[in-house]
Formats: sequence, C-alpha cells, structure tokens
Amino acid sequence: MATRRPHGSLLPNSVLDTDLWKRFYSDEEITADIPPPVKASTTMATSGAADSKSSISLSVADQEQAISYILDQSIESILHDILLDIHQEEKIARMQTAVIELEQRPDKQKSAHDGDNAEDEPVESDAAILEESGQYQLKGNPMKTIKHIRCPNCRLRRLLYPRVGFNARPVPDPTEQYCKTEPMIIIDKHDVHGQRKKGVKVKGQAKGKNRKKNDPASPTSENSDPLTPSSSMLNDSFEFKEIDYPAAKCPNRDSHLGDHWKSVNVFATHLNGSCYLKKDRAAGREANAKIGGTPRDSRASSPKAGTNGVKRKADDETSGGNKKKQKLGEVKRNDKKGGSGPSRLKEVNNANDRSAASPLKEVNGDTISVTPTKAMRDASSEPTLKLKLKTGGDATARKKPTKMGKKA
Amino acid sequence: MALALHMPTAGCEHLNSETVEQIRQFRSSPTNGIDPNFAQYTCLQCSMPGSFPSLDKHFSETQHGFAVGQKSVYCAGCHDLVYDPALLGNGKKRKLTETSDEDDSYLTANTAQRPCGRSGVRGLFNLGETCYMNAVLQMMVHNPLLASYFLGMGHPIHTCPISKEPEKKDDASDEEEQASEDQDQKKELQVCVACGMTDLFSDVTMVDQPLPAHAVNLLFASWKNIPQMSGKGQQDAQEWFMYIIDRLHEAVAQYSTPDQTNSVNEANGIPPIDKQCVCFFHKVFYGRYNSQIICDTCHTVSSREDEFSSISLDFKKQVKRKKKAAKDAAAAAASAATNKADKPPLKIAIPNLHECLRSYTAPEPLSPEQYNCTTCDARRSASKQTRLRKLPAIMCVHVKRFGMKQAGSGVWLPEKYEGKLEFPLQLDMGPYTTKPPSPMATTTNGGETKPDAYMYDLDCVVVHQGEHAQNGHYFAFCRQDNKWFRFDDEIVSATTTEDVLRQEAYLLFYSLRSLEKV
Ligand SMILES: [Zn+2]
Ligand SMILES: [Zn+2]
Ligand SMILES: [Zn+2]
Ligand SMILES: [Zn+2]
Ligand SMILES: [Zn+2]
Repeated sequence: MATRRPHGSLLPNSVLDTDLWKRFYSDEEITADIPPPVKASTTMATSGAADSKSSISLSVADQEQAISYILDQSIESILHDILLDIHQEEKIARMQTAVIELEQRPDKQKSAHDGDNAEDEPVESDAAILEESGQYQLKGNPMKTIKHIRCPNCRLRRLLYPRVGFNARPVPDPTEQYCKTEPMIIIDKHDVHGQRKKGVKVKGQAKGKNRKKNDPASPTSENSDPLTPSSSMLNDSFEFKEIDYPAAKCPNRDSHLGDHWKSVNVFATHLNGSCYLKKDRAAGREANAKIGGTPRDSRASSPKAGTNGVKRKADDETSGGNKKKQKLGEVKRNDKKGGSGPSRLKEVNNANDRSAASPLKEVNGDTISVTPTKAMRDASSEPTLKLKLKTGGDATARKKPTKMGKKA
Repeated sequence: MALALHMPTAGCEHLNSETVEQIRQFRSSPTNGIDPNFAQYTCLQCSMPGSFPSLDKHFSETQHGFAVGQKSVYCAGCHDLVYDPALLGNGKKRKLTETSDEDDSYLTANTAQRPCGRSGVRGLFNLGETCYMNAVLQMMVHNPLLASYFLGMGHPIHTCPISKEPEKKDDASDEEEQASEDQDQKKELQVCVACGMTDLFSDVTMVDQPLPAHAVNLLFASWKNIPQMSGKGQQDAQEWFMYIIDRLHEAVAQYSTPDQTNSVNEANGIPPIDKQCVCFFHKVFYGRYNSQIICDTCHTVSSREDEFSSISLDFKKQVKRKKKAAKDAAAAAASAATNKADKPPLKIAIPNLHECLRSYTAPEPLSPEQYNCTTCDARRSASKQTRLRKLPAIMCVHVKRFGMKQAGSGVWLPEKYEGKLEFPLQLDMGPYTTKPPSPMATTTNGGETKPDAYMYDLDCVVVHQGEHAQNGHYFAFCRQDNKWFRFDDEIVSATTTEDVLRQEAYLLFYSLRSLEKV
C-alpha cells in the first residue's frame, strides 16, 4: 500500500552535521538489543509473527470501508508531503533572500555616510525589516514580495532552470553573474554538470539517421556531427567539458623513491604490476624492477598529469595479462551503451564536439575506445568542413524556436 | 548550521517566540488529535481540524491565528504555510557534546568557506575495474552519519596509530632500513583503511569541483588489508563491502564485555558474549541475529547469537516459490475451467523484499540428520528459527544473485540470477526481530513504544549489470537531499524514485529512521 513519504527531512544530507556521529555513538537506545525471543511456550505462535495483520479481525465490509478511507487519506497525505517539500524549499529560499537583500544594504549605507547614525532611517525593504534588536523580521509573504532567489552562501542570484539539456531555459540576464549552484543538467551520456567521459562520443544520432541512413553510426558520421543543424542547438554558449583523467600520487611509498604520479585510470594496473603486486610481469622485468625501481615509471613523475595520462597509457603496465578479461567486460559495456539507441535528448548535441574531436589526444587509454584515428584525421584535415560549420550554425539559430517547443 | 544562515527571526510577521513555544507543546501533547500518518491541520487554540479554506473561515470567525500540522504550520494572517526557524530542526535534540570547539574549528572553517557548486554529487574515477568499490563508496559518501564521522574528526588522520607506524621506521637509520628492505617485504608500511576513507570523504566533499574524485589511497589500503581481494580484476561488491567495514572496525576496534546483554541472555539461555566490539563501525554496520533450535521431541530450546553485516536473501528460492505458486494457480484454474481453451497464461509474480525477509526469519524444519539434541542425547527432528536481535544503523540487504549451477558435463559453473525483486522505500524491520509480535506485548518491555524504532529508509541501491556472474558492471543509486542520483563511476546523473524502484537491485542499503532524531 502507498505509504507516506518518510522524508519531510528538513535537513538535507548535503549539510554536514559534524556532531551527528558523536550523538549517535553515545546514544544508548539507538540500535540497542531487542528483547530475546519469548521462550518455548509461545514459539509456536511466533511462526505467524511476520504478518501481524492477521491479529485484527474485521468483517469484509468493514475492511473495505477502512481500506478506502485509509487509501484516500494516504494519497492526500502523500500529495501533501510532496507539495510541502517543494513549497518549503522555495519559501525558505525566499525568506533567506529577503534577509540577504537587506543585509547587503546596511553595508552600502554605512560606507556612504560613514560616521552618521543610520538609526534614523530604518533599514527595510518590501520583504523584510531590520529591527532595532538587530534581528530581521519578515514583512508580508516572501512568496509575493521576493522575485528572485539568492544563494545564502554567495548571495548571487540562483538559476532556476539548467542552461542546457532537459528543461533548459535561456539564462534570464546573460550579463549577470549567477550562483554556481545550478540546477542539475540532464543530457544522455553526460553527468549533472554537463560533462562527459573522455572518449565517449556523443553520437551524431540526429545526423546519422537523417543523412546517412545506410551508414549506421560510423565514426565518420559521428564526427561530422557538428554539421547537423540540430546538434548545435540551444547550447552555443554552454561549454561541454570532457572528464579528463588526472594523475594521483601513488600511495605505495615502499615502491618509489619520492613522489610517483600516475593517471588515475591505470592505477589498478599500476599497483597490480611493478609497483605492488608484481603480477603480470615477465620474470626478466621483475628482476629489472628489483635492481633499481622501475626506470620506465620514473619517467612519469610530473604531477601535471591529466593530459599526460594518455602518453603513459602506452606504458608497459597496460599490457598486462589481465587485459583479455578486462576487454571482455568492457566490450560488454560498450554493447550495452551502444545498444541504448539514439538519445531522446539528441538535439542537445554539442557545438563543441567539433573542437573536442580534433586533437589526437582523444584517443586515450579509456575503456571505451571506439574513436578511431582515421576519423580524427578526416576531421582535422578537411577545410571544407569548417566552411560548412558556419552555415550550419546559422541554420540552427533559425530553427531554434521550433525545437524548443518540441522539448517543452 | 547552514540552514539557519540568513534566516529571519520568525517564520512570518505573525509568529513570535511565544506562539512557537505553544506550537511545540501542542505537537508534543498526546491529545492534539494529529495523526502522524496523515497530513492534517488543527487550530492551535481550539484543536478544530480542517482544510485550509475551512480553517481560513474558522480563523476569520474566531480570530484564532494558526493551525498546526505534523510537519508545518498554517498562518491565518499569511493564508499560507509558514516555516519558523525554531520549528525547522525537526525536534532534533542537539546535545552539544562536550568536545572543545577547537576540534571542529578546522572543519567549520572549511565548510563555511565552501564555494557554491552542484554539491554532493561527484563521480568517482574508475581506477581499472574498480566499479565494485565505487558503487559501495558512493553509498558511504552520501550517508550523513558516515560523513559526520569521517569529516567530523571521527578518525583523525594525524593521530592514527596505524598510519603513524611507518614514520617511526623512517626514524631508523638508513642502513638498517635498506638491509631490511632487501631481506623481506615483511616490514612493509602499514596502511589504514580508515585513513584512506577519511581522505576520500574530504576529497569528495571539500573540493569544489565538478570533476570526479578518486579513491586511489583507499584502493591501495584495501589491497593491503584485504589480500584476498587485491589485484586488478572484477570483484563482488558485497564481498568488498563486508571486508572493508570489517577492516574499518579493525582499525578502531575497542572491546568490552557486554554485561547487560549477558545478564539478559543468561536468563534466556543464550550463551554469554565474552567480548564484544563497541567501535563506531560496529554500532553502524553490525547487527546480531538470534537463532533458536527447538527439539521436536523434548522441546528444549538451544540458542545462539552471531553478528552480521549484511542480510543475504535467497533470491533464487523466492523466484522458484513464485513459479510454483503460479503453476499451482494455473493448474487450479485449468481444472476449474470447463472450457480448456481459455487456459490463463502463467503469471509469475515478482518476489518482494518482505517475502524474502519473512522466509529468512520463518521457522524451518531440521531433519534428524541435521540436528543432534543434547537433552535427548539423540538425533532429532527440530525446528530452527533465525530472527534479528540487534539491528544496525545502516543495514545492507544482499540479494543473492550469484551462485553455481551444474552444467551437463557435471562441472559447476558460476551463474547469475537475473530478475526483479520488489523493494520498498521504507522498511519496517520490526516483524523480523525477536521482539514479541503482538502490539500488546511491546508495552511490557520498558514501557514506551516507539513506532519508528525499527523503521528504515532506503538510501542506496547497488546494481550489477550483466548476465554473467564473473563479469559485468556495478553502479549505484544514492539519495542526496531527497533526490536520487545515479552514480556510474565518473558519471553522475539525476534520476527519479520510479527509476530507482525499477532496478534489479543487488545490494540495498537502508538506514535507521530514528537517526534523524538523534
Ligand atoms: Zn551561491
Ligand atoms: Zn503569518
Ligand atoms: Zn587510520
Ligand atoms: Zn568494531
Ligand atoms: Zn530433545
């Protein structure tokens, strides 16, 4: 049966309560022992313990009536709770904004006429007033008096809709600076920040379908993606970033003289190999490693790792005997991902694809290595493509409204 | 507290501290008529319940000012729900622990300066087939209790005795060190998993970046401390979870003899526990189950109790049961139907978590081959029942999806059981405990009955994708500020509760609701 939502939780779990664990740890009741089972005599009865419902006896009619009553009430309560959560979040944000807007004003006033007594004129706005006690009091209902929500942390205005992707809206005032806490972005293959994994191509599904039906998602069609009118939609200003693999310092201090940095995506391989477990190593290599650390490794000791990770990928470590198994798993994964079909959000493909796709560094040690070098070359060496890009961009701009309509 | 930041003194211009106090008392009074199960508002002054329009009318007639619900307050002056800062704490009793402010100052300083950004939703880099670890880690990182511990100096890295050790070695003379290095690997550095975990928590939450974090230090600590799971390769997420919390416990273990439990146990014929760990991780992750065997002949009860860190449910058995039930139903329907043509299709119901827990805790018969009664001094048939005696704060429910099957050739091969298992967002574990079943009986133990004492809320779902037992991919769904996100290594995406409930869960993590009120 439908149950009421448990979380009217007023404290979001992103707000850290550093004492919670201490209170929990010293609370003797929480997770305390439950009384032991009742002895033999009752054990026969406990077999039915699981469904305590059976203990209530009602006539069928009574039950039906009760159930429909409870159901009505529950649904109402569930709806209430959902709406309450939304309302509360919104209203508290506005209450805070009322205070923030006022807090910012005394500063200005003071700086304006420094020594003067500001007490003469009360500090107040349509939404709140600063009382003599130094406390802020609301005036009227902030749901009506406050127009824009401001962030209690940085005091900048909050964006209410994502800049791109599902439910995106144009930024209200492009000249204004907004709080960095923006709504989560929803786009296939991208994370909530609008980033995607390095090496993951956003399929030019749109174009793969429209233009070359008989060329199913070939690398070339993917690459020509930016040419599709639809692909540069909406997000001309949004920069889709790729998640690059940074380097991390190897924690195995026994193995390296000084700090040793490795691209994070090969860390298991690194630890598995010369660094720690010494698995997948030819005997000769192992001997080699014993003599003087690992000469190859020492090459890669710059903390500036991100892009270097690619170079290192060619390192001995990736060619472990484990690779076969790994590949197997990965292929599986690719299949699944590939099989998911064209994205519903395909129109939010990215104008930046074009720049992102060209440099060779994209062919990396990542698990999904579908990007062939050939495509890259095609992209970077064909000047005609660039020309087309421009016209393509214009076309998209004109098409914009209809697409947006569809989405909404 | 961040919530109180920049808040006005009162929820609205009509509310004052007196009224707030009145509301508090009204809520805690047993006769207020508020049913906690339903959303209901009653007038603060005269307890008249009603909808908002009817309350508005009531207010205009009576000059009464507020109606109180379980979670919110309706103001007559505002014609709206109002949220007073003093009422928002959810009744949390904030016992300020006597720890010095200095302890937390480093942290509060850090949190206060935390820049804005889409917080709390960072991915984790796959370090090379480490999705099993990432999925479990996301559960941990998003748990407020664990975050509180690791970020609230629960395990201060700089004083950790395990991580300290190597530094002592460094002090030793160089020659000595080199000599021992050549000799043996025995004197390897020790690496502390709790320190690795602390690293990760601070990395994930403190760094202002949309980029994923990585658990390199923890991976190494894990390999060092769990040799049987070290090495690059795919691993079982549940196995890793069990090991890692065991190692966390080992890092901070603290044993004592549970006198209170023992005296209760003694009276009930349960063998005493000579030493029991009382560390933080034990309190968080470990429960204890009681299993009783009753001899069918002499009815002697023999009891034993053991710790657990996850509850493993026999998914395959449950599916079989459902299939059998469906077949039986179909057979019954077929025999009842006069016309054989309209044979109903086989409808196999999806098993649910409660059924699994019920069969986990139901009495099962033991044959004489399985049981030797010491009282009868003979092999006897008996009945065995396992129930929960102590529940953890964070409970891992493990849906057994991996097993072995015998191939035609007689060779045993690993097998994965796919299929759905329905699971609820909230789970009352009461019925599966040793607690006396009837509501009447609860009053006998200590008096007060807490309705939520054994209530859990779903926090995280770990999914294993792939049809094979030996390889596949793990990802996790975690709740952050009551919104669900999907954490697939580096990629974090927003999702819905419905999507979460559709998953073929492998691990379910529930946390105790009463934690909210600690
Ligand atoms: Zn901000
Ligand atoms: Zn009001
Ligand atoms: Zn430590
Ligand atoms: Zn322990
Ligand atoms: Zn016996």
